Amino acid sequence: MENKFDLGSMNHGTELLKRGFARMQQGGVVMDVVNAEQAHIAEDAGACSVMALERVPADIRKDGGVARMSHPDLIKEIIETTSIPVMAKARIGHSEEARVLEELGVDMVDESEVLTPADLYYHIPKNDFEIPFVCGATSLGEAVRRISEGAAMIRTKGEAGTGNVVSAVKHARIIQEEISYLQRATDEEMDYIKNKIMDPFQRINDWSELNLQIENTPFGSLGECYKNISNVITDIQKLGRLPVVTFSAGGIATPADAALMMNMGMDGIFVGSGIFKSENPTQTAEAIVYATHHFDEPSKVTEASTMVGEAMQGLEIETLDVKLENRGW
Amino acid sequence: MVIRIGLAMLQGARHEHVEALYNAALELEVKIEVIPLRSGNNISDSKLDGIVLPGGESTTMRKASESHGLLSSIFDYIDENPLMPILGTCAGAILLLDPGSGRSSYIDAEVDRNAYGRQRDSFQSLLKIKNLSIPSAISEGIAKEQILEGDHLPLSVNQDSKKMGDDEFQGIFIRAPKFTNVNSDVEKVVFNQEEVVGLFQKNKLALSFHPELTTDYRFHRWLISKAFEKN
Repeated sequence: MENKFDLGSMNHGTELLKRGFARMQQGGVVMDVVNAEQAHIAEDAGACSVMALERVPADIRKDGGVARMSHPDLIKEIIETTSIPVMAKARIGHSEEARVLEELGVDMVDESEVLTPADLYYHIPKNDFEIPFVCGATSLGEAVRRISEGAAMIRTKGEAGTGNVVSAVKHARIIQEEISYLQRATDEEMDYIKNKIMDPFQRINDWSELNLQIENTPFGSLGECYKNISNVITDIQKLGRLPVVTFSAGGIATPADAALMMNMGMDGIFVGSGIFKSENPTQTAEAIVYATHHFDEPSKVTEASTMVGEAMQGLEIETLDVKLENRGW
Repeated sequence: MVIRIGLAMLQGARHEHVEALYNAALELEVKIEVIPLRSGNNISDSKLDGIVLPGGESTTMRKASESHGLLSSIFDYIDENPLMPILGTCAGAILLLDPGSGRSSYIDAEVDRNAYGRQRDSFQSLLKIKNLSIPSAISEGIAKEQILEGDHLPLSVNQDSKKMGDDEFQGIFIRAPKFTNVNSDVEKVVFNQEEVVGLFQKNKLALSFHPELTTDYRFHRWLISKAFEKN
């Protein structure tokens, strides 16, 4: 059906449209899927989006090697078979992978520590894109930097592929405590906080022997970066929360895990390996959606917990060779 | 008198509607209460004066509802109260036009989902409102953040609330649906150039865009005034 206006002449890719897309995800569950069949199961179970990738984090962890953006054919196949939004992962700092994903019609890019980082100094300049980005964070500073770089949504990093919720809880707690500190900090403390949050923009200095006098970053001059993080901080002080939709991710494996994170104030849930590494993916998917929608009703979370079979095998964080939460800064 | 507005807590942008409704009520200097509708259990005796069907993912909202019957209870309630004022935005508009499960449409038109493409094609545009009477704001106050008990904080929208003409509105279209085959009984009330993006029939307003993402509360004022008239 033809449009009765020129779609090309409309205003695309504004901050309101990017953050607005994330707002439509609230209260939902985003599920990792590796093929069209899994995408169907996720959609039927009530996922609000699917994350298209070649291997779920548990397998990436097992296989080792460099983890990259998924093959375009796989992403296209999943885009063509689902009616809900499709997200896909690009490596940290890999703007060209993100460009490919934008070109393919992906609805949101996840700049993800689950893949091997491509840039040790800078994340992707997300304001240069028309599609929105979600980024991981382990602390308030990381979240503020990502939002100032243009992220339209934040998720806790947790520890992907472990089925262990402890890191997701840790990151949610740290961010919340730091927000409450931000709200009661003195002017002097605020200066310290802002300078601390600015430091990683000059990370490249740590690897140079010349004591670089850095002035510019891919996100603008250091002065502009400072102004941007100050604006984000002002928003946070006003709202008492991050100014973008904030999901929990990394280790959520059961309906009760999902309810736990929702009760901690998260806006929604990412489930990676937890669904398709469980005994019965369809039931697990439905049960996690149900528990996420009814996180504050113990009887319904109980009902959801009863629906599922064996959860995925979990991993102790202390025994891991690679901690994904340490990727990104 | 307190006007009771039910809000379907299915999934998606719900808190934005809460904020918009309380702000609109302040502008009209009337008292409202937003009643979160979470499961089908007690809707029939909730004495609602109006209902909001919010935006989100329509597929997800339908699936979510299957397990607890929220949507079918809301539709039953609307069937018992055929002139119930309702505001449906984006996915909520889809539900009004295509309620599913063999129910007939509450607004006599068809809907084409994600008709403009993917998120990359989502757009903003200045719209024209025609033939819809919206009461003027009496007071300019900004509501204190109104939080539903046990729920998450609302997200205030950072946006220039630039004053527009009385018949203009900032349209935010996110993976938006398109209205097609609009029956002649249905009034076309909002336009993006020549394209109809707002439909009105029997006190029900379906918008394919997201007024709840702006700080312009006119459509929420419309709903509250209709809910007020009902009393």
